[in-house]
Amino acid sequence: MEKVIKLNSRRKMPWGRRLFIFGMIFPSVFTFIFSYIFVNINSVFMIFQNYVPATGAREWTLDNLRRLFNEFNNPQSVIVGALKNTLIFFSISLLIHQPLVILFSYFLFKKIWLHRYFRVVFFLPSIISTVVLVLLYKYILSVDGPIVDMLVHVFKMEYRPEIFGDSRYALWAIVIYGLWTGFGSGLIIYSGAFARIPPEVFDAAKIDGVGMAREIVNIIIPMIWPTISTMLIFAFVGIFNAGGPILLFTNGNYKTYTIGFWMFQQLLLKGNLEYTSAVGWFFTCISFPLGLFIRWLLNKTIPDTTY
Amino acid sequence: MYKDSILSKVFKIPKRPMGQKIVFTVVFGFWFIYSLTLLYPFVWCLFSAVKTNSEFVMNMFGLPKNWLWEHFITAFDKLRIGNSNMFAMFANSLWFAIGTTLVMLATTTCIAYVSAKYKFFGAKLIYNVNLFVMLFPAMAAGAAGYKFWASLGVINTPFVLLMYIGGWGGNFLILHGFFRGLPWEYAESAYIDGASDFYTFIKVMLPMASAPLSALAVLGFIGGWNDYSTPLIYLSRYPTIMLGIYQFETLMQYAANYPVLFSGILLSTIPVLILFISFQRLFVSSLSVGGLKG
Repeated sequence: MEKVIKLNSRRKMPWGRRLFIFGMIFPSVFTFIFSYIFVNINSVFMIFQNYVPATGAREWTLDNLRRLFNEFNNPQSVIVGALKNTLIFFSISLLIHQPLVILFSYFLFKKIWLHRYFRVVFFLPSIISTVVLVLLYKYILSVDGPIVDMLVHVFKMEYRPEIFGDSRYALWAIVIYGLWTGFGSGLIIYSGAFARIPPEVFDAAKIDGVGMAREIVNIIIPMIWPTISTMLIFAFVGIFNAGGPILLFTNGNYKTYTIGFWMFQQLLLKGNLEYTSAVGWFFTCISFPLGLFIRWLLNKTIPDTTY
Repeated sequence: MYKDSILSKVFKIPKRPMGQKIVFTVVFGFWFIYSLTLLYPFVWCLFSAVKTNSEFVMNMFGLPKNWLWEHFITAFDKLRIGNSNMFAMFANSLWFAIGTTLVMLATTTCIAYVSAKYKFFGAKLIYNVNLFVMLFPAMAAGAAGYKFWASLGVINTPFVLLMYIGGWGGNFLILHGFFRGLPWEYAESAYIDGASDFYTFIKVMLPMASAPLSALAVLGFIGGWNDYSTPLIYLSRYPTIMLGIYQFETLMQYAANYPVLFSGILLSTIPVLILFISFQRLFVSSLSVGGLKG
């Protein structure tokens, strides 16, 4: 009797419903199989291939891997320089930008005066195109611009620096641009997290005379920890994608290359796509386990606060 | 006990202890200056757009002598890349932004809905694959992906929209979470009345998802409108407005026309500004990110 019920229960779903489910998932699943699974598998094969322009054929080779490992023996190599710059962007984002976003969200949550105006203005760079922002930023930081005026005056410089034409300044100017314009999406995410904290918690803290610093450290951070840990995990997973709009600022000149920009440039210039795959997989093999490790570490060391 | 000042009553300033007031005042001061630095580039852009070319070169950061508003009209013809003037670029931006948003949202909504509300083989797998996709940085996919789509012949055709068939990533998790939280009783009432699964989805469940769908649609449109890197690689013959502005500025090293450039810049931002101002409250309430548990 039980076997009959189980068999019947397995066939419970009517065919109309099965067709409905199949139709709903088919476009996404079909495209995913080709544009993600097939593409990523093909990119693994590309690591061991070279395109021979003369014949149009592909030959199997380990040259891409040899070339990649030789890069790290050459301090002047583009990949090594790009890696250094990428890690600079990542460190600034992790150590300065993320804490600032949380602090900004805190003051907005606490309804600082004109908070609605600030929320709109701080989010503005996220909805305005990067092309527009970079163009305006470049002109304002040009050699005749007000920012250079200020720098010359404050630091008593003897010459007017060409910020995006000087390898001493170009990268840092792009890093500062990222900090200056980068609050928008983080504010939305953390605002949502703050909004979910029960207001009774703040009332109880107020009654107990908890100050601002303790409120942030002992109440808010633990309560929004799931959001913070998610953002940290994504940050480490995307460590080698860290960077800024290099193409728009300098096109990679003046030592501003990052890993992400170099890979994009290979696509743009129809460069050695096979070598690009090798570089991509090399960094993926580092960042993926790193992201999983960070996820494990965060779950292990700091438990989520449930409410 | 905190004294209520007239100022605090008029401007609805929350009561705070003195120490907090000092901190908030300092932060407010920094923020106000910072907000002005965010707005200044657009004010400067407006000043630059209404100057003549020579006035801009001679007096880049000063106030304009004459406000030549006609530049906003002439930009539509003079801001050109190849055969595409600004009208063409706006049209390309419109179909690209709307098309990518529609394709992405429609496919993501469908797969998120069924995997959230129906038990079938693969429902959990779809969710777990999404988590994996978000955690796995497929850095090498760009090169191989380009080869794949190029081999299909989508480059410089409207079929480039196929690249945006979605269902894998952050939008899926947002919609999946929303549909999970939606009571199934609404659908059951529809089934009792004889509605099919498809009718229930379209007429009953989808209207309830209007808030997150609207937020994702607006964000998707803004993302598509502002995108320059995908059109640069895949739609170079049909430049969108952002790609056009980028290429026009690059070409200006041969023949500078700054008022046209800056007029084009301001005109290109109008659609996204209107959308953002109209829908900004939707974003915070409809989108959320939780922890990656398990």
